[in-house]
Formats: sequence, structure tokens, C-alpha cells
Amino acid sequence: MAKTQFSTKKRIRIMAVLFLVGVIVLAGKLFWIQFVKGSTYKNLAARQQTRDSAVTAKRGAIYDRNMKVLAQSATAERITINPQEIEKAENQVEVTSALVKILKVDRKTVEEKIAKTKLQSVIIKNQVEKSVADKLRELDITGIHFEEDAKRYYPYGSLASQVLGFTGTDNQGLEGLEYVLDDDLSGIDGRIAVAKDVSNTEMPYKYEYYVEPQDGKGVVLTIDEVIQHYTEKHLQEAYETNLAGNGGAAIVMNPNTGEILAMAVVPGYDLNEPRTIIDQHLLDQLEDKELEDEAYDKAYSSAVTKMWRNKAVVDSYEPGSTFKIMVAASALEEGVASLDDHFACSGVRHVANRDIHCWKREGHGEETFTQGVMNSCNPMFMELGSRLGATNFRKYFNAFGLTEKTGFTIPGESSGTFHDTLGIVDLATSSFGQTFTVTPLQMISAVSSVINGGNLMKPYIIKSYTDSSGKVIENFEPEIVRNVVSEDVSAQMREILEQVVANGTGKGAYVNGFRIGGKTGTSEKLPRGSGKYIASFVGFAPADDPQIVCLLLIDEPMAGATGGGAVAAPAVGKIIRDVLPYLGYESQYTESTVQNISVNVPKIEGLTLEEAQKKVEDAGLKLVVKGSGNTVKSQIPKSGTLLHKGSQLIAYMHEGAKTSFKVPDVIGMTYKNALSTIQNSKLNMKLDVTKLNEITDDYVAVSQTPEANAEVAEGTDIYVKFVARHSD
Amino acid sequence: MAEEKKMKKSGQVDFILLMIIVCLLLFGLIMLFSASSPRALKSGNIYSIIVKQSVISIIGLVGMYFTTNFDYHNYKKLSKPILYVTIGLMILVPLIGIASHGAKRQISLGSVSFQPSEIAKFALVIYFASRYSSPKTSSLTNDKNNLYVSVGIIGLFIATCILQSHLSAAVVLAVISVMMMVAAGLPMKYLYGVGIIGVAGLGAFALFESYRLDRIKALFDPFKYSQGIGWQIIQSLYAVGSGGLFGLGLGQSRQKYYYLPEAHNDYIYAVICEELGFFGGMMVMLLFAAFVWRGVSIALNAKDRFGMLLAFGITSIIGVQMLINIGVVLSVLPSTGMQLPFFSAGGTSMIVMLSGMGILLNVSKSSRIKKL
Repeated sequence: MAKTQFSTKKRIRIMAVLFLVGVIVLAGKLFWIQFVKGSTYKNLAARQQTRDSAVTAKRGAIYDRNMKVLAQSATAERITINPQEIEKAENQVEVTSALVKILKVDRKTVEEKIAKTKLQSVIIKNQVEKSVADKLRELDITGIHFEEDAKRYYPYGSLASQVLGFTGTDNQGLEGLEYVLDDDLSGIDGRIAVAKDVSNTEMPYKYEYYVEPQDGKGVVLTIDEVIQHYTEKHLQEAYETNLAGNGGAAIVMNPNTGEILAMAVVPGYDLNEPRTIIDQHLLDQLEDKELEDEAYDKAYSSAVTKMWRNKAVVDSYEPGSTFKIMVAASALEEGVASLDDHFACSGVRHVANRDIHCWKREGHGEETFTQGVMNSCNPMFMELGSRLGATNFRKYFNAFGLTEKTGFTIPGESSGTFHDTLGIVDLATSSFGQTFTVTPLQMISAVSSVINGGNLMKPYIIKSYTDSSGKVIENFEPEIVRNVVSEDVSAQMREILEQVVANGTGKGAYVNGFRIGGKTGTSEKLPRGSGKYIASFVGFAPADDPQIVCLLLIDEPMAGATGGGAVAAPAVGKIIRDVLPYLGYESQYTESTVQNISVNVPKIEGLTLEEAQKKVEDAGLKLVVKGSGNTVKSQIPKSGTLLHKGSQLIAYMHEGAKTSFKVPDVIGMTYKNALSTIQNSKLNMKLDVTKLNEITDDYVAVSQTPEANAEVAEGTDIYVKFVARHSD
Repeated sequence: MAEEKKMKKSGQVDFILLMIIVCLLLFGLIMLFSASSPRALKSGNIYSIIVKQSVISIIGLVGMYFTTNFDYHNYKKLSKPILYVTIGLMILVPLIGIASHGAKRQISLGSVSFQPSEIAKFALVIYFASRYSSPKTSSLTNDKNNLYVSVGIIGLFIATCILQSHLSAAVVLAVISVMMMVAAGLPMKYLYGVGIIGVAGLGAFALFESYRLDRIKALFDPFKYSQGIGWQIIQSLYAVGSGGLFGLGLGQSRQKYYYLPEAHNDYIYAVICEELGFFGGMMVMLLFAAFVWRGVSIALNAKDRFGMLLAFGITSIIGVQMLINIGVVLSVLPSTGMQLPFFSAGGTSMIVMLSGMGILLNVSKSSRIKKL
């Protein structure tokens, strides 16, 4: 018994020791977990315990120069789901139907996201408006969560769309200024780490940290919303009337500072819905291709991408005759020509075994320098180019900034292409603006330097930066790139260019009461002969003290007229007409402007339709085409007639078109009355008497051939016999 | 005089043991309050669990007071009735028990429910202590019959536990019974046999229910099973690992926010380690070690063999459960539902355990252990 007892005690002791061993093992493991693996587990634990989320910095607003809001961010919400919670709550159907119904998201996508049960958070939709999110919140469905998000709004919709650009679902700038200025606009996101429990709800702990977000800067543009609006309106009108196949662009700039007052590109789009084409003309173009579904979608999205391009900065073009401004200025500056120089245009110039024609094949004949510019005479400019020589030509070309990027804050600015070596033929063609390309922005900057007193200004669109409350924190001042021409040459050029609009090829831009200078430009796109043109006009006003300069171009006008004078000049005229009074310049009618209301009807008989079109429109008249044919057989009224600006000039394309003229009854009329009656009927009166001076008011018409009411051609001679009233 | 003093002392309960019990109980209540707060908060009242536990502890202390003053020799006669009633209850559980977490382990008595398996631990200890201290059945060396009866009874309890899907109870009952048998003089050759049977039994059990096999696999690579069975292992490691030397501070556990399953129950030790660090974790273990040291001392110095086996068995119940519970929390053992005595929230187990502590204290009265 005692032995058993002893053995029992011994065994109990052994078991107690074994227990102690167990405790030591556990203590060792505890040590291992807490000190050897401690930091690893601690980090992993912290990762699962905290919801470290970004606190989106508020994106800065974009303002026009008068602090009108062009782009603004508003609070929105991001809807996420927790697939694990949904799996636990088994409310998949409820969640799906609510999300599909309220957020209008794809049912299949939602179902796929719900099936990701390994995840605790999956984004369903970004940038959901508060009111929509509230509808969802009211349902109080387990597994649906709400996070703060921001959404970009563009109060003016399509205004300056290609300039402003837009942001994506993550509030990242994708196009335009939104893209270029993304760093400034977006600010720095803050962070918040919140302790959360296993079901993602916050723990009642101070176990969190918060880094305040730094809101993005506001950007004030040099753009003026009102000027932008006028520019877009008239550009759009020109784009529609001319059925432009490839859109158009217009820039309005302050030539003295380089500030961009407006920059418009058509077709435009609504920045709030950047992936939707709203332009009917563009939609029609797409429809006309009659594509199948998939091909249509592809064409649609490539059209959308193209529509986002800022043509005014990104696309280069052959400037054509507008470039003659720079050639004329260079020639004057270099002293190789003066205003009094005379030039002779035979309609063609022989350059290195080649005949290069003037746009007016029959030539302009004898002309002064000023007249040559007014006529946009190619041979004169070839002569000027030749007098300048390749070296000087290139010197000025570079000086006008046409070979360098302007450094403008728009993505993808290009700088055009110019000849590496300027041969004699290249020099000749370059002299009237062909065989090289520039961007519209380079062009308007160069023109500005010619008319502003000679300084090439760096074009800019950002006036200042503001803090998030709208207080200006940084201003941008005009920047002179270099002086190109002298003050005198600049003044001369202003006068010449005013003449171009008043009496030359730029008449289309004429506006009563304003002194406008400008130059047309027409260039045929490559390949030549394709019938595709870029028609452009650059105009400025007031001509003696330019405050605005406007370049407008229409790419591929397809409605008949293709010349810059007919297609682009009127639109620039209208922009100036609207903008100048807004800037405080009232129209003033002088004697000369009253005279200018009347225009001389040009002779278009014998011209081709295109030539006639250009000539008539350059004269400030509207051409109405009757009949079909290649050349104008006759015109009404005849050349030399004085007409009010904007009147119609009818071109008859073939003889048969003008048969229906009724002979009036003049029997019994006096000479004067008969003459006016017949002339009013577009007929000629021939006298049946030998001596006109015999006829007095006592004579009355007694017979006529052909007889009254006969149908005759226009201008037919009507023989009328007059006899003295009292002869019997 | 000296004799009288010694007699008086020997008639007193062991104050050190009492203090250890009180410390464990108070420490347990404090930690339970912290660990249970998120869960309690979810039901609307942060105090709901701790108040219930406190009330139960008070009832348990009343029970302890009663058993402390109830001469343990009385259990010798009561051991068989207690065993039979317990067996009856254990068999009843699968039939009329209340289901919880897919297993029927509790019996409802009106508004309160209790786990017969908790009673079974003490019933077995009392029974074996009584059996192996009775002259007729004290020897396991030559008495094969005694061995068979013992094994039969153990088998019966294990069987009823399995019917309740309560593997952890079966393990505890088996381990304690074997310890009782070893203490009583089970020849070592049989012990190997018991070991083989135990391991084979557990192995078969694991294979029988595939999730148990996964639990063992998860023990070695919890991150592979991070979304399933490995989840609680990982969460426990995160909690313990976050603690460091002194922990995040009392009440500052993050893992108790539902990352830890049963933070107020099976995984309360992980919360302690997270909040009080290595220091707190070791303190719990040392308190238990002190308890075992005192319990074993009482057993070794017990007045008679019955008292010795009884004290040893009761001490073992606490020691074994503590080793298994902390072993699971620290990923030394595969996960199984084992409570940490004095700490885990529990109803009947607390009352029964504290009453058991009273028995141990009663044994200490007549134990020749050195007392303060």
C-alpha cells in the first residue's frame, strides 16, 4: 500500500513535470509568435484591420477671364459592394436588382462582381450623383457601401470643348487643359486610415490617422466666355453652310499680348458627355457611310477621338494666301520692296523651267505693291520671295515662329513642316503660302506680330492660378518672343490689309462701321486636284489699332464655294462685328464706308463656276447659279453696275436658260417711260428712227417689234417706232 | 500548543490556493469584459456578457463555499450515484439536447441550460479517485478486471461525447482518466497501449470527419487555408503577434472586433496576449502553473489516497484544459473547441468548476501541505 502510494506520488510528480514542460513549450511558442514573428503578424493584422482610403482632393475649377466657371467638381459617391457580406447575407438577388435598377449598370457585370467572394470591396460605379446614391442608401441593403467621390461638371456644356478637355471616371484629366494641367488641378489626395472590424464597419477607436488633402489649384483662362460663344456660333454657321467635310477651327487672340480670347473647333462636343457625338453634320457623315453595326461602332469611336482633337493647335495645314502677309512684311522690312513699287502680272511666272500661274489666269496686269496684296497676286509674291532670297526668306520664316512650337499648354502641339532646303521653286511656291504647313496657332501668332508693331508674342491661355477659394496666387504676363518687323512696317501692313478687306479679296469680311484688316487664304489639300480645300481668313480690328485678331479656317468646304474670301471671311467679319462692340468699340459710319456699301459688279462671263464664285464672293456679292454648265455664259446684272453689298449676282450657265422674258407693251409711252420699262424687263430698246435728238417728249411709241407679250431672250433688241404726238 | 496550532492550520483551507483561484477568477472576469465587449455591444448592451458571467461566478462561489465545507470523504459513497446520473445525462444530451453550432451538447432546464460534459469531468475524477482508493479496486497492476471496467467506463463517456460531436470533451475526459489511471499505478506497458489506442482513435476520428484532418493540415500552413479553417488560426496569430512585450493596452484589442471567432470564449487568450502582450500571456500561464503546483502539492500531501487522487484529478482538469486551450491559441495544437478555465464565458462550466475548486480546497484542509 505504502509502495503504491509512493509510486503514485512519484507518478503525480512526473506528470506535474510534464505539465511544466507543456507550459515551457507554450511559453516558447508565445515568445516566438510575439517577438520573432511579431512584426510580420502585426503588419498583416494592421492591413486587415484598417481601411486605408484616399480622401480625394477637390479638383480645381477652370474659369474664364471674368471668373465664369467653365469646369467644376462636385461631390459624388462611389458605390462598392462587399461580396463576402453578400454571400453571408445571401441577398444576391436583392443587391443585383437594386444596383441594376438604380445605377443602370449591366446585370451580368454586377453578378460577376458579386461572385468575387474572396474580395471585400468591389467598385460598382464611380461618380454617382448624391441624389441617386441616396435612393440606394434608403434601401439599406447589406453589402452595398458608399465612398466619397467627385464628379466634374461643365456648366457651358460644349463651350471650348477641345480646349478644356474632360476627366475620366477616376477624375484624371484625359484631354485638353484637364489633361495638361492635371497635376495642378488635381491637388494631392489625403489619406485616412480607419480601424474596421471584420465586416468592414468602423471600430469605435481612435486607431486612425488623417492626412488632409490639398485641394487642386483653380485655373483662370485668358478665354472670354462671351467671345468664345460668338466665335463658336459663327464658326459653326460657316461649318454648316459650307458642309465642311473635315471640320474647322477659329482662334481669337489679343495681338498685343498673345492672350487667347477664344479658341473654337468644330464639330464640338458636350464635355459632360464626351463620348457622344452631338453634331448632326458629323452624325450624317457617319450615317452616309452605311456601315454595319460593328464597323459603325468603330467608325463612331474613331470619329469621337477625332472630335476631341484641338485642330487649332494640333493639326498643321498649308496656309495659302494668308501667309502672303508675312512675305509682304518681310519684303518691306528687308527693304527689297516699297509700297510704291510696281509689279506686272501676266498671270504666270516662269520659275526654273516651270510655269507657275497666278490664281487669276489672265493676270492682274500692272499693279502697285499695295494692289498686289489686295489682289493676292501670286506672281508679285513670287517676285518678292525671289528678291528676299532663300536665306532671308528662311530667316523671316523662323523669326515669325513658324518652325517652332509656341509652347502652348495644349497636349500634342505640332509645329508644321518646312523645306529643309529651299530651292528656287520651293521659294516661289512658299512665297504664296504653299508647299509647307503651319498650325493655326503659329499662323495667328505670326500675323499678330505683323500688325501689333512687330513683336512676336507667345500665345497663352492661362491667365492665372488661384487657390481653392478662388484667390489669385500666380499671374502670367504677356511674353515677347522676339521682335520681327519694325513699327513702320507694321503700320504699313495694317493699312494694306485694311485695303484688302475694303477693296480687295477680303471684302467678305467687311463689316459696316468697322475698320477691319485681313487676308484670305485658300489651299488645295494634297493630293492636288482632289477638290478638297482649306479655306481660311485672318482678320483684325480695329485696323489702325488692332485689339483682336481672328483666324478662321474651314477644312474641306463642300457646298460649292471653296475660297477663303467666300467661305471664311464672312464668318470672321461676323465674329468681329459681335466682339468689337462687346469690347467697347462702337461701329462708326464714315463717308468711305457708306461708299463701300455699294460694290461694282465684276465681270464673270466666260469664267468657270469656281472662278466666278471666288470673284463674286470676294466682291461681297452672292452668286446665284441658274442652269448647268462649266462656264458662265452671261450674268445679271452686267459688270460695272453698282450693287448694294450682299446683293445677288445671277450667273447663267447656258444659253437656253434665259428664254422666258416677256416683252412689255410700250405703245403710247413717251420715250423715257418706254426706255425704263424695257430696261426693267432686261431687254434693249432700239429706235426705229434715225436721229435720237429728234425725239422729244412729244413723241410717243406707236409700234414695237416684237409685239407685247412675246417670249424673248434676255437683252433682245426691241425696235420701237416713235412719232410726234401731234404729228397728225 | 504547537500541536493545536498545527492541527488548526491543517484544518484550514490552503489560503495560497484560494488566492490563486480568486486571482484567476478576477483576472478572468476583467479580460472577459474586454474580450466580450464588441460582441456584447452588438446585442446593445456592453455589459450583457460580463454581468451574466459575474452572476454565474457568484453562484459558483456559493457552490465553492458549500463544497469547501463539505467533507470530501462523502464523495466516496456518492461517486457511483454521481457517475450513473452523469452517464444518464450524457446519453440524454443527443436525444433532448439543444442544438448550437450544429452540435447538441447542452440540456435545457427551463431558462438555464447546462453541459453535462462539464459535470462528467468531475464525475469521472471523483469516480476514479474513489475506485482506485478502495482496497478492492486500488490495483491496476494485476487486476485485469479493474482495468477493463475502467476502460469500459472511459469508452462509454467517449462514446457519448462523440454522439454529441464533442471531440474536445472526449479528449479531456480521456486524458484526465488516463492520468488518474497512471497516478493509480497503471503499468507502463499498458500506457503504451493506451497511447496507441488514443492516437489511432484520434486518427480514425480525423479521417472520419474530413474537416478535422483539414484542421491538422491548417495548423502547419494556416495561410493556405486562410479563408476557411485557417482563418481562426491566422486571426489568433495576428492577435498574439500584435501584442509584443506589453500589448496594446487593456481593452485595446482590435482582433476582438469579430476577426477572432469566439474572442470571449475559446480565443480569449489571444485577446489577453494582444492587449497585455508577452507579459500578460505569461502571467496567465504562471497563474495556472502556480495553481497546478499548489494543487499537486495538496495532492501529494493529502491525508489519504482518495484525497490525493481527487486533488490530482481536479488539478488535472484545470491544467489539461489550460494546456489544450492555449496550445490551440498558439497554434501548437489543432483547433478544437476548448475553453480556458476562469477566463472563457461559460454558464454551467463556471459553476461546476468553482464547485470543483471547493472540493480541492476541502482536500487542502486536511492536507499536510505547508500553509501560510
